[in-house]
Formats: sequence, structure tokens, C-alpha cells
Amino acid sequence: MQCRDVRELADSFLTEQLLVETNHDVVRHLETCAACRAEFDARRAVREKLRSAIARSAELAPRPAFASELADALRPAGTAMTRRSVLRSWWAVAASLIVAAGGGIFVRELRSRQRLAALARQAAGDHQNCAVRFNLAEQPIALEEAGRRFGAPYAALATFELPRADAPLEGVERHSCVYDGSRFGHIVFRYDGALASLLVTAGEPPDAPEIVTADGPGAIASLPAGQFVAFIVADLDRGRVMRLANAIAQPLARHLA
Amino acid sequence: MHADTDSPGRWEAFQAEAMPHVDRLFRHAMWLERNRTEAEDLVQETLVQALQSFHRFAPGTNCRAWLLSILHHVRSGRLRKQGRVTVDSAIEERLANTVVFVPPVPDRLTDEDMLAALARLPERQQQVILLSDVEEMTYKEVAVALGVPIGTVMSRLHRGRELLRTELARVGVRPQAIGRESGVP
Repeated sequence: MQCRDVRELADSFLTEQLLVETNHDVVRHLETCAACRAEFDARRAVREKLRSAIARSAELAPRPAFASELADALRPAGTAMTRRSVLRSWWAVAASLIVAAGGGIFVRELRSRQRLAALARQAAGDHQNCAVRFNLAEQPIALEEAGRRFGAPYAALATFELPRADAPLEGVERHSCVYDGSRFGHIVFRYDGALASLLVTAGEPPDAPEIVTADGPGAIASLPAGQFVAFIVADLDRGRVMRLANAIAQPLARHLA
Repeated sequence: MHADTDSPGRWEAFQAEAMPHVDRLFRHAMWLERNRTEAEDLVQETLVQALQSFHRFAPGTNCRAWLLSILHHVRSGRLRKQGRVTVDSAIEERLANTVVFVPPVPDRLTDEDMLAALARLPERQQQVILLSDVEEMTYKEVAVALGVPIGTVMSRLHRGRELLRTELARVGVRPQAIGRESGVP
């Protein structure tokens, strides 16, 4: 076997996809050819380094709770199917189809809520690290520039006039920023003495404003914003955050339509 | 499609067989999507479909390859709905005619060097390299995952690996300011 033939087979040899006979031919050649051995070692090293880089990358790693959340989300559908597996009659089959459809709708709604919750967490992180601590890894950019580079809804947010709630909303700053892999249009404002954020991003909007979580020191509300989803994040109780969300929802949706 | 009525431990079997691959699935999805929320959503939908199809999975075969196939089919379906299917056959044609000499790869390469070099490849070459070299799938498994002939997989791999080594060879030559673009939409 010539070096040229062996090197053409190098990748298949390294991935153990050659026929046994061909494999033996390659091995016999490598035993006597230092140049081809070096070439094979270099290719093997690139593959191993790439695998390691992917495995070690923090940027590519899932959240610690992701796998357990997934298991919790999947378990009801799996368990329901197991129960249906013992029914034998025609009616049972029909019922199982109906339950399967309902289970599918349940899983879809659950997935939708989980996506919203995940986006809400990112919005909260953006509020804390951008509006409160000015501590983002990537510099924010002007909404106009974000609009040119990434399209809607950023440019429109540059001209959105904050409405009045039960107290004035005082604009502090507005820009586009990135947190945990998601880009937001971000308007920072003051309401009732507290710093608050209106964050708009791509995602499935809820049907109406609602509190997503009020477990931490403040609360997060999600609200529909045309084709986008918006979040209000503030160190305020859920009642006041909900008032903000209700005051902003319609003007924002109209502005982004 | 009905659930396997002879397998009361279906969820337990799925949990034991498929769920240990969540980390690898997410890393693969995150590389493709470059957006954490989209990657989580892609992995979740993949596992929903996998659970529904679990009666078709043959125990003892490569579960991760099976899951990655589902992931790529789910993603392809989404891209088609969004009108985002790209045709880069012209790029592949240029690659076939231009990559001749493969320079030596520097000894010292950081993880960032490796990932940045991979990110500079056309997406189709990235996909086959990820599935073959990182996920260690066979040519046939990669072909099934991507819905292309085995010959296409081998051709893309050959070009992709040459391009990757070309990109890596540049690391030792030009300034270290090279990094991945933050192409977050």
C-alpha cells in the first residue's frame, strides 16, 4: 500500500470503519512508515482536542437543573402512557387516543411555560447584571444599532414612550444587551422609588400579563408584546409589578405591532 | 401510534437509556443554536419525540446516535418552517476546488482555538465533524441523522477536516485576537 492510499483511508481507519482486511493493510504500512504514523497521530490529536474542547466548554454546558427539570416534565407523559398500556378494548384504545392528545397538549403547554420561565430567569439575570450592577460580559449597544443588525423589536423600542401607571415611570436608560445567550431590548426606569427593567426578547408571548415568579426579593411579570415577549423585573412586591405590567402591556403591544 | 403495551417500565427504561445523554445533547444543540433558550427547547422537543418513539429504539444500539438523529430532524423541520434552509452547494464546490495543501497543526492549541476554528467552517462541515469526530457516530449513523447519502457524509467530512486543520494552522501565524463572534441574534 502506498502512502497516498493510506492517507486517504486515515479518517476511516481512525473511526474504525474500515473492513478488517483493509485495516490490516493500513496497520502493516504504519509499522514501517514514520511519516504516515505522524500524520495519523496529528489527525487523532485534532479529534481528541476537539472532543475535549466541546466537553469542557462552560458556554456549551447546560444549567445544573436542566436534566432534572426535563425528567420532571417528561415523567407524567411517560407514566400516563404506561397506564394506558394495560387497556385492551376498542373504547380503551379510543380513550387512550383522547388522553394521548390531551397529554400532548399538556406537554406542549408545559413546555411553553418552561420556556417562559427560562426566559424570565434570563430577564432577571439581565436586570441584576445590567441595570443594577453594570456587569455584563458583552457591552450593550444602542437600540438603533441593534435594530439594524438584528431587526425587530429593537429599533421600535428606542421610541417607545413609557406610559403612566399609578405613579410616573421615569426613564433611566435604554439599550440592547445580551445575557446568558439571549438578546434583549432593555429599558431601565424608576417606579415608586425602585429600579425596574422592561426587557423585550424573541419568544412565545403569554396571552395576558401575569406574574411568572415572586420567589426572590422582587417579582417578574411576563406580558405580550406583539410577536415578542416582554418582562417587567423589579424589587417590588407582586402587586406593584402586576400594576406596572398592566399599565405597559397595551401601549407596548400597539407600539410594536 | 400507540405506546408499547408490553412494557410497563417504559418510562424507567427511557430514563435509564436516554436521559444520561442530556448533557451531550444540550452541548450539541447549543453549538447549533447559539442560544440557550432555543437549545433547551430543541433538546426538550427531541426527548418528547424520543419518548413517544421509544418502542422503536432497539436496546443495545447507539442511543445517543438515535437521539441526535431525532434532534437533527426536529431542527430541520423548524428551519424549513421558518424558511431558513440554506443551500450552500456552491460553497462545497469551492471547497472541492481550493483545499489542496493541508499545513501542519501547531502543537499548542487551546480549547478556544479549537472551537473558534470549528466555528469558522461552513455549517454543514461543522455538523458532520461534530457528529463523527465529537459524538463518534459511524458514517451510516451520521447519514441517517442528516438525511443525506453516506457518500455525501464522507465527502463533507474529508473537506471539513482539511478545512479545520487549515484554520488551526493559522492559529500559530496570526495574532491571538481571533475569537468566536458573538453572533447572538
